[in-house]
Amino acid sequence: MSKVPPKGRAKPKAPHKRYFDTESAAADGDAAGLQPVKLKRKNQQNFVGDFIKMQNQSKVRKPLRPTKVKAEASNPAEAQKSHVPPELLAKYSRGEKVEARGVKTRHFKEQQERREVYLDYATEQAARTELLLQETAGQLGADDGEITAEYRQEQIAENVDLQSAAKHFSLQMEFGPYTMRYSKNGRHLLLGGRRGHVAAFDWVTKKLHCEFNVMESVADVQWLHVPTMYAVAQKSWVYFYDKKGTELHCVKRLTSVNRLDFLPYHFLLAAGNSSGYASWLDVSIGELVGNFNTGLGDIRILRHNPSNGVLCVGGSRGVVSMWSPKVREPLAKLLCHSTAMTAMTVDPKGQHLVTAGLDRTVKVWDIRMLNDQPLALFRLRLPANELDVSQRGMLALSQGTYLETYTDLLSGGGTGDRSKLPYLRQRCDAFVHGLRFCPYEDVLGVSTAKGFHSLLVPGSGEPNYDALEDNPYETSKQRREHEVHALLEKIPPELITLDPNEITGVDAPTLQEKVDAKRQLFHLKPPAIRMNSRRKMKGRGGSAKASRNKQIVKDIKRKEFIAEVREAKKSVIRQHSSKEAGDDAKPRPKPPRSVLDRFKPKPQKKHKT
Amino acid sequence: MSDDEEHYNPKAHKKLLTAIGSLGSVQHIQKSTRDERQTRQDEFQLVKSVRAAALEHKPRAVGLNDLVQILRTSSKHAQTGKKLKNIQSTKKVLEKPLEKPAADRIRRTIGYEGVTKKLGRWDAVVAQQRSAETQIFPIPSETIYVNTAAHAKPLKTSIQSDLAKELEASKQKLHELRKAQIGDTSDEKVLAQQERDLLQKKLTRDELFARRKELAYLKMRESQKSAKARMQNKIKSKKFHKLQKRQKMLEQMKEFELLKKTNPEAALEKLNAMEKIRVQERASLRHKNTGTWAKNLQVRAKYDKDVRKDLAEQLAVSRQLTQKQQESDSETELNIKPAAHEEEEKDYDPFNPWTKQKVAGKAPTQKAASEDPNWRKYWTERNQNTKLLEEHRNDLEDVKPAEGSDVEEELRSEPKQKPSKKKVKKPKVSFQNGWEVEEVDPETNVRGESKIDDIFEAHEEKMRAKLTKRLASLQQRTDRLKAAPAKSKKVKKKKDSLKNLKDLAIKKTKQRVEIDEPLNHDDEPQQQVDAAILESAPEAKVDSAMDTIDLANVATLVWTQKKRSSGALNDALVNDDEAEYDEEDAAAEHQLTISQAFEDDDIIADFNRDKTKDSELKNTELQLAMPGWGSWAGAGISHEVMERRNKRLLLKLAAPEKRRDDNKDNLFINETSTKQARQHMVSSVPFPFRSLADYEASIRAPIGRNFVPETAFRMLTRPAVITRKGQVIEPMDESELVKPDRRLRHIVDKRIKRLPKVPPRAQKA
Repeated sequence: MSKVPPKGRAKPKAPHKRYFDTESAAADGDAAGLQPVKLKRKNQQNFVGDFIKMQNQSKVRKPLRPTKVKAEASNPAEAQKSHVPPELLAKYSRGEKVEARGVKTRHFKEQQERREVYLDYATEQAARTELLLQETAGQLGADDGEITAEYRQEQIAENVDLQSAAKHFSLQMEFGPYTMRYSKNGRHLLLGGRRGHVAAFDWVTKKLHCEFNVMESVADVQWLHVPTMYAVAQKSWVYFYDKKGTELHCVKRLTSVNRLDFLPYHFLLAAGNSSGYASWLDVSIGELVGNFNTGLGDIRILRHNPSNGVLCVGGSRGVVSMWSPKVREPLAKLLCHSTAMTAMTVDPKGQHLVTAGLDRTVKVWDIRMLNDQPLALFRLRLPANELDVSQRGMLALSQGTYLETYTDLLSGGGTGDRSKLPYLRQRCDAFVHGLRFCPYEDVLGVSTAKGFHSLLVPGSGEPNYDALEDNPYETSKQRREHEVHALLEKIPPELITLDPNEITGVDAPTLQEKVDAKRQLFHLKPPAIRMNSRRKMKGRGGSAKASRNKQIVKDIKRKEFIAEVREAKKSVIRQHSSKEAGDDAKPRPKPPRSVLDRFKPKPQKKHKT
Repeated sequence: MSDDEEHYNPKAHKKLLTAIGSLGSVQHIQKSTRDERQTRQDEFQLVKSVRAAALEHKPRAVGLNDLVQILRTSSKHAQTGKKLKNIQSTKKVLEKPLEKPAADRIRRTIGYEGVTKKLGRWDAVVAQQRSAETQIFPIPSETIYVNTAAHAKPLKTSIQSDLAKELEASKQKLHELRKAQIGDTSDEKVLAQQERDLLQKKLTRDELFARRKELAYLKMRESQKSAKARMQNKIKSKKFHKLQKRQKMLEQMKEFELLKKTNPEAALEKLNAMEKIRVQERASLRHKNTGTWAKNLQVRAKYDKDVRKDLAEQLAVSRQLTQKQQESDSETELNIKPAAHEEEEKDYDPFNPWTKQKVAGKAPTQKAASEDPNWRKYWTERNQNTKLLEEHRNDLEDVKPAEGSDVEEELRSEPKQKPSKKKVKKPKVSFQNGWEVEEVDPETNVRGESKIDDIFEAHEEKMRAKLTKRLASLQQRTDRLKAAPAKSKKVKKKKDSLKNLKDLAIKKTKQRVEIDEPLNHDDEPQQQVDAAILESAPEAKVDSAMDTIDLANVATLVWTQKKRSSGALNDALVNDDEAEYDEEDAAAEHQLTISQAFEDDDIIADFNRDKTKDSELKNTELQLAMPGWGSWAGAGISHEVMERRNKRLLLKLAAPEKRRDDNKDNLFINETSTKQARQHMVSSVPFPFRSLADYEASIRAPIGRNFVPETAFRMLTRPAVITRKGQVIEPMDESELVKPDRRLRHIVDKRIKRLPKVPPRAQKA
């Protein structure tokens, strides 16, 4: 017998389905079907054994105030444990710690101290990686009765291993004079002949990327951020080419460029114009971030400082001026020579500026401290027309066809100085027009009027390279990755300042700004007050009343402002006049207090207003 | 005065006085006290002082004094009255309970304190969590996972050699042997099992209660019984004691009868025990002259000489006995008894069925000896039987007179039987105790005395023999004991080892901790690795040292070069170079001479001019004098005056400041050039830092991958909170309070932990 619903009574109407019903039902179903699963770690999931809960040590109450002596005692032990020599630690140290006194609350004090521990650890780790730098830089050593300067390139090439000997070569080319550039990792070479010859090749394997004639005069060539692209300053404009020699861009805003340089961390292509214009082109966005006349005339000497990105321009008046793309005045000017300059370079670490002038001297300056006296002086028989400093601080200079290298930048020397002889010397077949040390190689590239010479200079290059920074053996994949990273870490051009750490400081107004602000105080007008009164209901106040009210408010505000300004003015006047008075007459010493002074009327106390 | 007297109305006067009194005084509100039960307690303590007027009208409340007064009337209750009075004066009255709000407040404060204390326990945890560098959720538990599953591979623990095993086996054997020697039958395994059981056995609560109850009941019973016994002991009635004794005897008899049927051996022992009791009783000589016979004798002794004599003898005998008993040991006693037995034997007929009975069967005699109520009857029966037997024997003797020799032989062979007789001492005792033997023949007595010496000698010999035997046995024992110590030691050791086991068990937990350690300590291997690295480090160092040495050599070589720089070779080189210059760089020389011609001081002068121009501040002066002000008087005003005024009103807004390039002649540094970069700088020293130097130092070090090693980078950019995906984060429970600090693995964490904590108020300095 089946149950039949009673007749006459309609089926209970199913309630209207609401949007949440299904969901809730589904949720219920889910809840019924699913059990809360306590997730376990992977190594625990197949575990069959017992669970044993235990505490391996009891909580020991620590003394409330830890003894300092103990902490000190523990530190040397720690240092001993780490086994990092202190000089290495000093090498990788980032500077002085933050003193706990200089931090305000206890919480932040502790935080800061912890942070210092982290940084110490970082330093320590960095120092420990020194172990990995197995390559050591060497130099040529002469036997008894010999000097290194008398060794010729052929002799050196004979005595080194095959791989290194292959690095000594020379190219005879007829579109000279040539300029040359090595890429940042030192693997690729770019040559540009005045008469239109442009060639890019992997100089280690001697594999040519491209070679062509631009059918125009070529003033300078420059690699961009990757060794697949380069810029060529041609007769009128600057052109970009890729590795295959395909023209990528023609930058017509850079006209009649004499010199090119590239700031790799800012992605800026710097150019010096024959009419004295300095230009910075952001190659990542294709914009000129700075383009102005330096007022120095034809710019023939141009180098950037690798440490801060400032562009150094050597002028015809013996002055090196330093420029930032966003400042239209030179950041600094240094009078280096009393004659015209012939060459200039900055060492790869950005510590020294080396200049050469027509006065037949080469001077080494401290570019960080910017002293007015050179650190070292090379006196030559002829003025140096090209200069370069290697990564390990070797100086190469050319005087016409003759070039010599010095091991130590700061030792000084010169052709005539017999106590400080050059390290190596070389006479080229033609006038030297370009001179660059190859990064991470013991090679000096020399471009002359008739070709290119690759010279072996043992001990010039940095033997240990940071593959994350510059990798001579990088693959295309690594190159691409590096490019992306570099782009992400691009430094904005306005941060190019003399002191790269200036950004960490506090913005304090300069004296000129202070003066201007004070001056402005005397020419201030009360600001116009715009007042939008609230609309009131009809009959609550007419327009006349509203305007009157408005006027009243404005008057009050103006009066307040005027009073304020007056006070400020007064304070300024008082300040400066009193200073003047103070300057004029020194404050008299107080007369000794006499016994009868107590009968004098006491000075009235100032009422606080 | 008369008027006064006339008007004086004491009642009215009193009223007046009270009125005056009430006028001046404020309403005195007394603190209500609880002197008696009240149905209503005034909440506000507004109990007014009872006025005199009210007092008059209302019936005075009954005070304690009244009660005391009443009590004093009867001498019987005077003392109680005094006590009451004392109580009132000495005992304090209870304070009235606090008002509800006040009480509540107090309760709340107490509650608050409690809660703060409870919550305060968490302070350390909270502080730690707040200042923690990284927090990991869910909080890692100290649970470790040990696979104890049955199929888990057992650890191979024993690496015993065959020799060791053999040694152990032999040791075990020796141990067992020793045990056997001692006679220790206890099975060690069983003992251990028992011990384990005991340890394992845990009483439940109910069981415990039941047990306690039972014990209490037992104790109660014991005390009851002891009380009863004490009471009974105090009873002096002899009759009662006699009856009691008899009753006890009866009970024992019954038991004995029962035992005889069920367990004859036990019955025998029981009999022995009973006999012993009896012997002791008799030996105590309490019944020396308390028997009926003795009493009768005493009565008769007044009139009869013989009787007196008998009595004296009896006393003498008793004395003698007592003396002997006092002197003799248990063994001598044993020896004497056979002697006595001999006497008896000599006294009595060898054919005495009594003695024979003794020899033949023990049980009946023993029975006879032990039972008091039955034995008289028994004895009488027995005696009759023996008499009958004697008669029968006499008849037989008459028939066979020749058999006397046999008897004599028997007598000779007597000593052989001795041992058996010796064993059976009861019959003799029973004999002694047999009060039926009333007459003591002086002759026999004399005989006994004369023989005593011999007997003693014989027994001395025996004793000697026994002594030697004993000594031998003792020696043996000592030997055994000597051996025993080792054994006992062993046993002890075993116990110790057992204890040790226990200790181990306790230690085990600790050891587990040790087991746990490597799990938590991952740094140890790391240290090893470090060590390895460090070991490898010196080599590298050595290498570098070698290199440096090489370099030094090179340097020295260079030095020698320099020394020789003035040599002929170098000169030649230089000269050669010079020659080359002269030939090829004539043009350059020419250029040089031109430049030298143009070289002048103008360049420096120009540079300085430019420098001063660039570095000077603009608009540093402000003229406060308005044109026309003060000059309106006309043309006659002197120019000088105007100038002076202008000078006075000229405001110099900027004092000359020191520049970076002040004393550097050929250097100009633009100090207003950083406008663009300044947008990126902070406008003031940010919060937690006090000075710019501190702020700068705080951001001095980069933390990016490019600047620090990867390990350091990971530590520097470690997240503050680490959670595990899909895991529920439970709130902390109280176990967190007692949990030890987590073992830190990273050296940075360890160093941070070692940092001295900043005292709370250090920054105020």
